[in-house]
Amino acid sequence: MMHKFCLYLFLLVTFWIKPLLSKTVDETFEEGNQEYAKANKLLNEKDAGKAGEGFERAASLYLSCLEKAESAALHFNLGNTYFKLGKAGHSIYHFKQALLLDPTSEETRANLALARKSAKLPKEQGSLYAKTLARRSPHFWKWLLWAGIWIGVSLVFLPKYFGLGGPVPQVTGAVSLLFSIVPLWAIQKASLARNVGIILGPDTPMLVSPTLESASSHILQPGQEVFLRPSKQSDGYVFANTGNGESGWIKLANIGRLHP
Amino acid sequence: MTVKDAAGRQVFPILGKLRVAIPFLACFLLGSLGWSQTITSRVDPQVLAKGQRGNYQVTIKGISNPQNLGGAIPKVPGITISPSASTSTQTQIINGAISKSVTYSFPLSGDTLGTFTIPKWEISFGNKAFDVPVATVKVVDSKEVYSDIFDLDLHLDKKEFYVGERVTGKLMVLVRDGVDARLGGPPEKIGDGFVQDKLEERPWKIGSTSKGGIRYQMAQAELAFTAIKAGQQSLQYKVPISVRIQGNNNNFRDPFFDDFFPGRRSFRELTLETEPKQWEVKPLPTEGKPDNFSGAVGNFTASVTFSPKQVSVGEPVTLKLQLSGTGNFDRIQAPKIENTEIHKVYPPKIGFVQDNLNSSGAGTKTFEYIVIPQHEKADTLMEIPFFYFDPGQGIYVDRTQRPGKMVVLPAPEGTFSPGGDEPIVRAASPLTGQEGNKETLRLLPIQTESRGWKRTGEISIWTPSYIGVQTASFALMAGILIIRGRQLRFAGDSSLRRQVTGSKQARAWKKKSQDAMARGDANAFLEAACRTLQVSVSKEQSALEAVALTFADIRLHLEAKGVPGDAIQHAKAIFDAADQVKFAGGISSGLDLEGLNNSLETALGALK
Repeated sequence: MMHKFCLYLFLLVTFWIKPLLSKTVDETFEEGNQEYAKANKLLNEKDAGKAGEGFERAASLYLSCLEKAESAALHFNLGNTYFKLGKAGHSIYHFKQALLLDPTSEETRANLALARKSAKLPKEQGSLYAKTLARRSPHFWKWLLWAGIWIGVSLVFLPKYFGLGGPVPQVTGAVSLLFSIVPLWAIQKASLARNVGIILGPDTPMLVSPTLESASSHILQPGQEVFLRPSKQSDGYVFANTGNGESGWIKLANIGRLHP
Repeated sequence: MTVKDAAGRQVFPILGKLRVAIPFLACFLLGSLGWSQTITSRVDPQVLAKGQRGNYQVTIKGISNPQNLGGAIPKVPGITISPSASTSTQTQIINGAISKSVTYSFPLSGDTLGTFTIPKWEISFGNKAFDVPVATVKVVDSKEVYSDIFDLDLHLDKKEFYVGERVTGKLMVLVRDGVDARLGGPPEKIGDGFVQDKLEERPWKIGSTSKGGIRYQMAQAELAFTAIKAGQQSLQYKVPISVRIQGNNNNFRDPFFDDFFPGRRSFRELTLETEPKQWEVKPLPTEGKPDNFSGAVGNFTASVTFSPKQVSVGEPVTLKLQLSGTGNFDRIQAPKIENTEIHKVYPPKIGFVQDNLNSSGAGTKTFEYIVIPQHEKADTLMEIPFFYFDPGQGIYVDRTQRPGKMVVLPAPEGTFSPGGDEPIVRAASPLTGQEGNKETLRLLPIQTESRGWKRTGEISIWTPSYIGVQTASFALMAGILIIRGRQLRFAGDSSLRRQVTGSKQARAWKKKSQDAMARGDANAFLEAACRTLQVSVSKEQSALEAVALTFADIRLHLEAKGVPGDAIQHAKAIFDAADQVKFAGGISSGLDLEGLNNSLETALGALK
């Protein structure tokens, strides 16, 4: 009898009372914003010590949101918070992640540029893809791909089946199918972002081998982008190369990995 | 008006109520009495073929009965007017006023070609003399009677103009008096050298005019254009009209109008076109043309205002440029104002108010820019360039506006309003404790609202909903193609169609036979069983309809298929039982329905 009572009590606490007592993501996000605002005020009042503690609390609240869910705004605010804390690598990583979730945000782009500038990283030379297709989210492109393919298929096949004459529908359908390459390319490029990592800490070594004792071939700075080779991982290290041709092993803990 | 007794009470209140109506009643009575006589004259039709007869009509308004007239009709060389007149009486009620008139029609014929004027002459009746006004008639060759019945004329106020200049004009539709015609729609422009302003909802103004002594009904529309191409540009207009055909008593006795009388049709649609004309459109001079010429051609004044006069960094200022005057407002582009290091400028909101409803082109166009000062030093707003071309003088006029100064205060410390910047000092980073540089950087503030939460690590591209939609789309397309393909196969293959429909029918009959057996209804069972066999055979051969197949046909088919003899015997048992019941007058007692059903199953099994 007692055992059953304990079991029911446990189930009640676990599945009903605990969720009621725990805060929602929105509430935690709002608390983080409040902490940030207070810390910002302290910073304006030149009380840097207390401001720093406030920003740490804000970051902690934002990170507890991130354990449950994520959004472009959350990453944006984390980027700001880390920027205030002087953690350029974390700041750049979160701004980058915010941009992946909402590529249309000019605010994120502006703050990212500022974070890179403050980290003394060169100004990003945007590729054609970055200037055009990357300004839309992968969701947009995937639905455009869906529309393009099915409109194309419908126009190519259905007129023949329904006895509609003339080459116009078929040509239009073929063009639609052809242009579906554009969203396909955009999706493929966006999915490549999952192999991009951002260096979080200062003076991160790029090692010759995946061991603690290994010599370093290169030193990376916070916010630098590296291209990971996920298939090549060993003991908490991943093989990566920079855009400048250097390659080596980096500790996974030192990298913020983007995910589209 | 009130009438009161000694006690001040109103005695005849009805008189008071009537005081408003009395003037109207007076007008009505005066109108109905016909206080004066007016005399008009006309020749109907106004244009006669040589030798054709018409009528010289003298109408006296204000009399109700024909009177004996005194006076002599003047003789006009070239036409003959008979003095013996027929009379007719007309009564009109307009706004409650009764108007009566008597028309005297004198037969008239044209003897020679030309335009003839019947001069003013004196007519007398009831001891009074009146002047009959002048009337005109044109006598032409019989081939020319129907020319110039309609006319469409376009008149522009200028003969030469510049590209982009707004020009006004008039389009006139003339229809000879006496012809019943209606406008069928708005005018339609032909020619791509001009852009026409939007017409009013009811563009036509109706009136009358005289041309060459002939009276015309006139509809006139005011138009406004902007020339968009340089060089000789043609401009024409088309106007649809409906002309009423009046049967044998109409003006159109020419064979040309024979086409207008198919059956009972009484209206004919016609399209009038203006004569092709060319106008010289001059290009805007390149000499002296400013780089940021806005495309304005006309005569304009410009003014600029801004508010508020004092703002903080990051707060918006509304900068308003107002252009007034006449010209091509619709083609004036917003003056370009570039962002500067200390000003952020947003694209303007554009407004236009036309000064009046006619086509003068006068109006006021406004451009409202939002400017956000980015720095305390941004106290001088940028100038707004505006140049227009004055076609009268043939020069470009500079109306660049320079707004005055405003006061820009620093942004409030520690506040982060949406869209504004917030200050940070990197040197104060509490974690690093480094002595950073003293540079003050600007960071856009945090976002206070978060929408679109996603589970962390969720694969965001290939979501279940997307895959579901893909699968559904594929299923839909495949379904359409399969069903349509099947339809097409049926349409082209009669044997396939017969097999499919035959199978359906066979299943239906078999079910009926099962139902009949369950009910113990032998007649129904046997009929359904026979039909099941007939349909099952018929679907495989097209020679005969199922209902016409006898057992002999079925036997031949079964034998041809190589069905064993005992299966044929089972089929025979069913047909024999059916015949037995039929010849016994429907008496079916003693039949072994279950046995027959087994026979049916066996026969069907053999057929498969």
